[in-house]
Amino acid sequence: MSDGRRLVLVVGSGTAAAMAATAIARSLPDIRVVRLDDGEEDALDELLGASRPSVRAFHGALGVDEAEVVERTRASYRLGTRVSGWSDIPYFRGHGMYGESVSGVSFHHLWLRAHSRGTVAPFDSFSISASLASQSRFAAPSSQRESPLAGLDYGLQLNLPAYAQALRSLGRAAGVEEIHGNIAAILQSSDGGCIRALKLADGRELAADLYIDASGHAAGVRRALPWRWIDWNASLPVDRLLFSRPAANQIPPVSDDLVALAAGWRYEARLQDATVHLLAYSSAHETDDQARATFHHAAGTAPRDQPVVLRQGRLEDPWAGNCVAIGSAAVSLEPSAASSLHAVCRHLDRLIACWPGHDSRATPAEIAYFNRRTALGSDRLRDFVQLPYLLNQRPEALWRAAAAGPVSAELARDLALFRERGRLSIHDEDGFERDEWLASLIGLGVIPRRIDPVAAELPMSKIQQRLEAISTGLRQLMETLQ
Amino acid sequence: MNSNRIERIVIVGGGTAGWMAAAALSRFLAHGNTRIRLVESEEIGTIGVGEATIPPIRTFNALLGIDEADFLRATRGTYKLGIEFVDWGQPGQRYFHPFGRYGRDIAGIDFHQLYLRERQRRPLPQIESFCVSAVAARAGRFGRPQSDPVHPEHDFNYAYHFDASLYAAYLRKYAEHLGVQRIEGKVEEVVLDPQSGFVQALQLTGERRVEGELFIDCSGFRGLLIEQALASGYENWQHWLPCDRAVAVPSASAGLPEPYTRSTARLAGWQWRIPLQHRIGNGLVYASPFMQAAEAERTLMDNLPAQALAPPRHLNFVTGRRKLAWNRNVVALGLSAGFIEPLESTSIHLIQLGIAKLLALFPDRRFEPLERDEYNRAMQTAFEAVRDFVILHYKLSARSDSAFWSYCGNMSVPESLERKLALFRGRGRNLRCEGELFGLTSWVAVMLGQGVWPEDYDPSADALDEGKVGALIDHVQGSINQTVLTFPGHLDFLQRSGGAATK
Repeated sequence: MSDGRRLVLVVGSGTAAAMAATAIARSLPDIRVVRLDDGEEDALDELLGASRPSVRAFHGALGVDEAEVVERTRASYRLGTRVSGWSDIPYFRGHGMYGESVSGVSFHHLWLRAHSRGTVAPFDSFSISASLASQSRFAAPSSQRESPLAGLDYGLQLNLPAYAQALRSLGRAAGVEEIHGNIAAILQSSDGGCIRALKLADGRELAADLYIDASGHAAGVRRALPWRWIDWNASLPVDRLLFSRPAANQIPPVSDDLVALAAGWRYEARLQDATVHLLAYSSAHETDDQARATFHHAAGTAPRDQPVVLRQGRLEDPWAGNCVAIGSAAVSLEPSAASSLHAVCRHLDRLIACWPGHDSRATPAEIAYFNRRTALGSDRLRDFVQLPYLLNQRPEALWRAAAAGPVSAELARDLALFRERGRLSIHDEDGFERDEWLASLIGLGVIPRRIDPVAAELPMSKIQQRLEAISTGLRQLMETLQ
Repeated sequence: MNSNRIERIVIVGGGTAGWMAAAALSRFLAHGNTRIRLVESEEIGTIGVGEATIPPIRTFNALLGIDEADFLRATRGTYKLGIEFVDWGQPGQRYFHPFGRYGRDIAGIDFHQLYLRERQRRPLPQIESFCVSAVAARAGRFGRPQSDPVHPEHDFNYAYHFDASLYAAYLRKYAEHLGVQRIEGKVEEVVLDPQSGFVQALQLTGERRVEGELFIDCSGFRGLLIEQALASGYENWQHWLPCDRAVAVPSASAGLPEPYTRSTARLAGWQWRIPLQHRIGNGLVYASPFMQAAEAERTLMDNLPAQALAPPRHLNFVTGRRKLAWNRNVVALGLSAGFIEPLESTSIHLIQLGIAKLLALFPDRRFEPLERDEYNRAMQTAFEAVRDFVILHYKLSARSDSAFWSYCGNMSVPESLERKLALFRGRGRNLRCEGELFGLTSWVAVMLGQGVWPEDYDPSADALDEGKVGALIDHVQGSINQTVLTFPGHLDFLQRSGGAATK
């Protein structure tokens, strides 16, 4: 099947594979993109339509009109997640800015200073996303600097089956070819370092220059070559998921909900025509039957199918030889921080930036770069997801064990520095915004012992004035939106 | 009120580093509860190697509330749009490292990739022709950067050249006005607390004693506190950056001052030329195993743009970094924290960065290891990133006309740089990492300038229509030339904007 062009074979039936094939066909001309659809969707992946601002960058790079995506696939805008049950007070983990800095001092230091003096409104009441979400409203970010909307950012709550379908037709228009069939065998090169061809059940052989495994958690193609799995279950104890996706007809809110329970957590996202319910739990602390009952009680509906077993962790090297694993084939995380589509977007962006040149061979430098940066990004995602486990204030056995779980050196250092000084370090490939870290840390009840020395010396009246001005600005904006 | 608050800060040394620290600390700890004193001796000369700067200096000045024209008048300063490198590739070759950007990106694809692709179709001028700061510099012109979303290629950045001792004097006035007390005297002894090993006080000549809780060591290479008293250790980088001597001399001006620094490669090092309003700073940085002091001095004096205004001064240095720039209650800034030769004008920037990190992590009297470790980690990252970028120039030189250049061409480089080189050689990629000071333009300038032509360009550039890209490249070049024509001459601009000193 060669016409002189280089051939990329994307393996997968779900959203990640549709995104990969379309992005590659659109960004890289003179490449033949074939997607092998083996009909085996990753059920969990296809449930998780919550996306972060990275999906908008993905659409931007593809030249896809966002309004059209929302309209055609019945998606909705997503400003963040309401988080409750981990600490005394629920909090909002939103995109975009929390407050505004003053003379180079980050806003949270001003807030902490006011907090140390007694009464101050909750940290998230200074966030534009949280304010909008509390009234289930959405407004587009403003380019006018004075407007509170200038600090707004958002993702989309995607309606996955429809979204994947829309991307597939975009892909076809850009020349993506689709083949349906099941893989019977994966043939390796003589040295075992590359894939020579995929042999299908009907006898066909597909040979490509580059294989992209976007098949979901199973990562069957990438795992035909040498691989090593780095397991995270010691720090992230949740290992089972129950879910359902009943149809609905509703006006979707602009946020989703995450609630801690005795042996795990539950998640709810409402779309225009369906509601997604998830229950994640630790099998060491709750039986499947108990979980089923918990699910039914909370969601008001029975879970679909058997529980999904979740092995959290990542591939040490997602790219080996001529095969790259992306999305949940490369990193598997519990879906509490909308990281699933985010990982797909980041991996594709990086893959296209490292794309093998015209001779179709990736250099070791590029492969090493992709693997190193992907590992960094995955580890930061894990650290962010682990944060509520480490800082939770719940009494149950699961939660006490999780609070004492193993922590990466970076997260330990970051936490120590924040507890002591209220400072956040900047890391490469941090997929979360700085203010999202702050909202989580403060929301989980971490109050630094000291604050920025410059903030500590600002006159209290100036700080109060600033806090007041931000609150007033937000209030006025909300009134105009009524 | 924090009862552990630091109330007495003592700065040792009054060079550029010392007075920058004094000015910034007095500005940002201006609550009347911290006493800042600076000990310096007129007997000890200061080393003014950092006369050329990079754009972040503007942020430092702005944070202090310094007026640009006033500052330029006081320091006899000029504008700087970048650095011209002469003879670094093959002898006779020149290239420009501009402060700014190349052209404009299309659909997220970097301009240099478009340039590399177009170059396979037809001859193109050097990539600097697509950067406003480089074109203006070559024309001897200067203007304010324009931020125009329709013409992103019109934006650029700039820094200054100035007389470092006048800058120190300027900041001294600023700091003294905010209450910093200057103590004239020589340190005879550093008194350590016998239990904790922390610095307790400085014993000065004439039976005087200066006590403090936090000490800032700006004493220069010798590291009076950080090394001589606390033995913090030094990481030597001479195997990568073998230059260890410099000889410097001011000369008269030769024509109008250029708005850029020039670096000319010589047989065992390189020569700088830094135009100020009233004179030119010149110097030769060289490696003593490959060149004698007398020969270095002769090379410098034979290559002056105009008559020398003073006898040449000789300096020694060891390129590297203090292992613990913050140790116990001492923070080292400037040469006592490490030294990277001034090839990319980073000395003052590293001081500025140290001050900013110190302010952000400002300790109290308990001196938590947390803050110290974070500071040391951040400074190590910053020093290493600058180091790699400076090594790049030596490693890439195509010269083989001396033992020195043969050594540089054959030496191994840090792994971090090895990775960058491999990525660029492959498809012209530059993928930025945490803490890196120099961005895409800088790496592309040096790589292409010194003859690293990638084997291939980024294949995603093929997604764009050839005709359109070609037309855009021509359009960008034309519009940059047009913009530069609206700029006045450099000296003209200085005079009009009030930055020129009256004699």
